[in-house]
This record gives sequence, structure tokens and C-alpha cells, in this order.
Amino acid sequence: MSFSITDYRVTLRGKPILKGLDVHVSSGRTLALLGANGAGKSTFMKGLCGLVPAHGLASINGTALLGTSPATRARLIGYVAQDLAHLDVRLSTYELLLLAQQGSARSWKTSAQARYKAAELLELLGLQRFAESQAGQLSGGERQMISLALALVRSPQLLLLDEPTSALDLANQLQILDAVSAYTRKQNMVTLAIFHDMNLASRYADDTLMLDQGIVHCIGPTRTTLNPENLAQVYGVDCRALNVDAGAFTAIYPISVIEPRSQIGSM
Amino acid sequence: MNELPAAKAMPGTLVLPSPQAHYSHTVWRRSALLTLLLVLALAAFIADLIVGSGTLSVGDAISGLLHPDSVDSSTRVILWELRMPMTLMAVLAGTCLSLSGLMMQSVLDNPLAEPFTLGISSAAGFGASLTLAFNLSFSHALPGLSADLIVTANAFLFSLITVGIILLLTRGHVGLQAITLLGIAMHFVFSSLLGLVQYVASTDQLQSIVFWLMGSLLHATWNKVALCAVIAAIAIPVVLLQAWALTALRSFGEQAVVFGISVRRLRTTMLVLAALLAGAVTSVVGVIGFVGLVAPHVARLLVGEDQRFTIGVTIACGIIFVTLASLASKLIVPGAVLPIGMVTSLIGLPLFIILILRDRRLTSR
Repeated sequence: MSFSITDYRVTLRGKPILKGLDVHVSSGRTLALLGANGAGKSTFMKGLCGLVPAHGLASINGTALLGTSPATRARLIGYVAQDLAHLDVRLSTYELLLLAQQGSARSWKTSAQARYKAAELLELLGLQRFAESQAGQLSGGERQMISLALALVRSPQLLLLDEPTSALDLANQLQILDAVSAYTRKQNMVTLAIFHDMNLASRYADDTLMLDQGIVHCIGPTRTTLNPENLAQVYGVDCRALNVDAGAFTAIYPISVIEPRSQIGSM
Repeated sequence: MNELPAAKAMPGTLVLPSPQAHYSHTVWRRSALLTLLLVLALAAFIADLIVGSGTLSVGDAISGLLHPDSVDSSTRVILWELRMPMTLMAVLAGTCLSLSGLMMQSVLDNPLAEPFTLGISSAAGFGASLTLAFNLSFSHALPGLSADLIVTANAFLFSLITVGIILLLTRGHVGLQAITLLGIAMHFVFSSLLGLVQYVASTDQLQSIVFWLMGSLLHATWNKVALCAVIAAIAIPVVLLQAWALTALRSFGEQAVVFGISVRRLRTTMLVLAALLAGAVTSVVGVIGFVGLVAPHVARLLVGEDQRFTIGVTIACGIIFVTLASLASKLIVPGAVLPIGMVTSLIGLPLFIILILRDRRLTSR
């Protein structure tokens, strides 16, 4: 039971974005996907869920992902996009949760199970008060939580989160990521999450993958991989790793840019 | 560490949560609204049959409809050969144009899209004008075609040509804006060609072209009704089967792929159906504007984006709108029937302006 990709490649408009990646993640674990802007993190996720054409091999629990129909992939993958523009529609959150489970189904009726799952997810993420609200009228953070509920409601085996907390306040960040990591372990699924906040990655990811210009720079347990050396090489930033609460957590504190990557940043 | 919010363990023990009760109520309310609108559509249909520009009394009309054998032959001819095809054509025009508009707006993700966005009206107009002015028609290749369908067949063919060209040009990954812009380009190409035909046509030919373009139910015959009915009968079930997929497309756009929708295939299918629907009606009655644009907006205001209801309500609104316009076209000037295309635009325009100004989503940004 695991997620693995072999020689995973994505080329967009003739430009290679991902250049042959090999990644393996065991079930029940959360993998942080890190890397500088333009490293290919979002493309990594879009290729898996069929939003951009991808090549190579990818599988979750032995089922191939690439080259299969959208309906097959939808049963296996849940995806929370960075861009939430499209939830502005005259449907309530509860209706969206039913819709997310219906997919390409021909049947007009929603199943009792789908209605149960929708109610369960609203409760799991503390969204009951938004059940009747239209997503378009909610705040960015609330929409992000609804987007997560839409991804989880189909009980995916692979959950892809593209900056899942970018619009959330501090309390919601912790609440949502606690819920996601608990859910990942409970359902024995694999969660991949893109983070820009190293502290969230350090706290919630079991494993860390750092991408650098379309190739894997390093992958391994977060405890050993998310270290100042790798951060300096991938982000060009001098960082310190600090012990918090007698070693219960590791905090990453950035000190300075050591390797200016553009003229604007140079002295 | 925060505790995970308690989740209910057993599906069987879960008490019905309030969102579910609320949802059931919403579904009930929408079903009731849809039923009401379909009844109204039926009433408008009957009213349009009973009221006519002729001298027939309402009583004669009703008995002629219920018991065709009980009235004299002239009444029977007026009812069954003149009024019935016209009224059925009004119903079909409302059905096909509103559904086509809904599909175009969903597929192109553009609230201003309508059946004629891809240039179908001007292409059909050009096709019709070729036959009306020069007696040129591809349909001469079909010897079995009845005479009343020759102009229609040519117009229909040209309306399909535009969509064919657009689909051919956009086979690769071309964005929605490109499709819309290509449609506008096709519109300009065919309206220029139409203008050219009008320029070289004689006065009589010009008059018949202009009258055709205004849109009139007077062209309706049983053959033409059958053509539109067949296309509507094919399109409606296909669209209804895709109700959830279309809702997902409206809600998630390109990302509907993630929810299991084959977005490209869905878009192509719906675009072709929208073109067939609009092309068939336009080929028969000419250009009837505003229905395809307004009916989907009214439907969304009434029942929201759940396409299981939006599709039906859009069609019902389309039928009501065109049959009432047909009724008005007979009543405004006593003894004359105004071209329906003019009437729908005149009634539709104020309605459309009111809708835009009332819609907070459109005015607040």
C-alpha cells in the first residue's frame, strides 16, 4: 500500500518542467512538496490529476494513474487547487459536496451514502454553519476549507494539496492540518502537500521532498531532510533549525539570502 | 495537539442532519417551480392556438381542436394546417433556442454567450439568402427533399459549416476565448457575405431575404416542425443525462476533470448539440433573438445551478417566452402578424436590462 512514481515527466509548451522523477511514499504518510518558485511543484500535482499531460509511471496502491480516464482518477485522487476562482456559483456548500461525489454519474438521484458523507465532512472540518451558504459569497479561507472538503468527500487514496493553508488564519491552519494528518493516518491514504511555510512542513509532514528545477533534490523523513543545508541549496537562504518545547517541534528560521538569484536581489 | 472533531462512527446511527432536511426542501421547492412553469408553458401553448389573426371564434377553435370532425373543413384547415404548425414551431423555437443558449453559456463559460455566438445566425442567413436570391442550394443534391424544406436545408447546412470549421480549427488545446473569438470572426465573415448577396439581389429578392431574417413563424410547416422536433428529441435526453457533469463544469470549470468529468469531450458534445438546435430553428423561422440569452439567466435566478432543474426550467421559460411573443405578435396590430424575431427582441430587451441590474453578482464587480 503506497504511492509511487517512476520517470515522471511533464513538458509544457515544449519546455520540460519535470525531468524524470522517482518518488515513493508509504500509505498513511504526509509528504511535503517543497521547492523555490517555478520548481514544478504545482505542475507535479496537475499532471497526476490530469489537468496537464504527464508521462512516465504513477500508481496508488497498485492502480496506475497516468493515461487512465478522468472517472478512474477521480475515484483515487482528491485535489485542492491553489486557484479557487471557480467556486463562485449558485450552489450551496452541501450541494457542492453532493456534486463532488456524483462526478460523471448518469443517475439523477443522490445516494443516501453521498448525503451521509457530505454531512460527515461538514462536521469533520467544522463547516456545518456554511452548509447552506453559497461558496462564492464566503471568504477566501472559508472557500479553501470547502475546497478541502470537496477533495476529501470522495474518500480518495491520494490527496493532493496545493498550498492548502495559504488563505487561512493561524487557528484554521492548525485545525485543518491536524484534521488532514489525522484523516491521512486513519484512512491509510497518502497526502502530498505543497507548503511555503517551512514550519508547517516541519510540523505536519512525515516525509519531505525538495524539488529543484524539475528534479528531485532530496527526499526522506522530514526530521533529517528539512535541514539548513538542503534549504540553502534549494532556496538559497541561510536558515537555522531551532528546537521548540524541548525538542517536540523543530522550527525553521530564515536569516538571509545567501545566493541572490536575480539582479534585483544582488548587492 | 488539537483533537480531531468527533466523527459519527456508525452510518446507521446518524440522526438526519439539518443540511439534509434543508436540501430535501430545496429540491422539493425546485421541483414544484419546474412543474408550475411547465403548466404555464402548456397554458401559453393553448392560448396561442386559440387566439389567431383570423376570424375564428374561441369556441370554434376549442371544439375544432378537441373534435376535429365536428367543425367545417375551413376551420379544420386553419387550426391544423396553419395555427398548429406555427404554435408548435413557437414551442420548439423556445425549447431549442433556450437550451442551446444554456449549453453555449456553460461550455464557453461566458454569461453573454447565446445560440448565435458562434456565427450560426449569420451563416444560416447567408445559406438562406443564396437560395432566396439565386436559387442556389446544396439541397438540390437531395432529390427527395420536399419543396418547403429547400431554403431551410441550405440554411441548416451553412449553420453546421460554421461549427464544423470552428471545431476543426480548435482540435488542439485551444482556449475558450479562442473559440468565442473564432465564432465572432465567423459571424463577421458570413454577415459580410450576406451583405454581398443583399447588395446584388433584386428588389423582390431583397424583400424576401429581409423578411426571412426578421424571423417569422409564418414559414412553419409540418415538415419543418418535424425537423426541429427530431433534433430536440435527440438533444434533450443527451443533455439531461449529462446534468451532473454540466453542473460540475459550471462549478469547477477546467478542474471538473478532477471530479471525473471528461471536460473536452463534454464541451465538444454540447457545442455540437447547441449548434444543431440553434441551426435547425434558425433555418426554419429565421433569427429569433434574446430567448437563448435570457431564458438561462431567468432559470438560474429561479433554481440556481443544479442543472437537473436548470435545464428543465430554461426550456419552460423559453417556451413561455416565445409562445407569448407569438401571441403578442398576433394581437399588437389587429389583422396582421408581426415578425416574431422583432417582438422577442422588443420584449426581451427590457426584461434583460432588469435582470442585469437586479443581479448583484453582475453589478457588484
